[in-house]
Amino acid sequence: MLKSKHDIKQMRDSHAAAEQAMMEQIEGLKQIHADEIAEREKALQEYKERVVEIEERYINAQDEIERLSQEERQEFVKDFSLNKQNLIDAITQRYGFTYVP
Amino acid sequence: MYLSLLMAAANAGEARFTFLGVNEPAPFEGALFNPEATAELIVAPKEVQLNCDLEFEYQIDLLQTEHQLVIQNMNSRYNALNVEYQQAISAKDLQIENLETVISSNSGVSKWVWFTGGLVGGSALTYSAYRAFNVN
Repeated sequence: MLKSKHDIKQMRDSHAAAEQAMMEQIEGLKQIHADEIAEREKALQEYKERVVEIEERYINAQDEIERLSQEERQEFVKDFSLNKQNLIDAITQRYGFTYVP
Repeated sequence: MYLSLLMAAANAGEARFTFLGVNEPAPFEGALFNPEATAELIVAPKEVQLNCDLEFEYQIDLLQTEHQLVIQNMNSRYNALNVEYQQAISAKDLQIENLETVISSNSGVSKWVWFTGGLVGGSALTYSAYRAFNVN
């Protein structure tokens, strides 16, 4: 009788300890999950910032190419009346055509 | 005259071309480009090349950034799983330790109880038999 009570008490203690351990594990898992979510959020935020930066750089570079090309076009248009030789050289170099005066 | 001036102004800056036939005021048959069209033909290849390089760089940067995000997420998952694993092992170790304590304490009590009970019971039985069968 005493033995049985002793066994039951010990089983209860063991069960309580296991339950406590499981509760601690659940709390730990919640914390781990929260940390992981925070890390992912941070990574996503960094990704978004980086994409915005890349897109800005891309648009600026496109504008710069457009600006330089436009300047170059204007120079070549001017060369028609001011410096034909430059125009001849440019066409010859780029396309390999032969100039016939 | 006023009309032709207006037309010239409207056409200024527009790239145009036409074809010339034999004996038209040119040494051979061909295409005639106005200054704007000629400038466009000279500048276009370089501009296309620059835009192509830029597009490549842009796409590569985007892909790199995307892959960086995937790697970071995988690292986060790996770290979380690693900690989860360590925690689960610790909890199981603790549980095993508790159960071992219960088992060892149970075995100890049982062994001594059975030993003492056996000793007392055996002695009592022997004594009772001696008393019962001893007619003298």
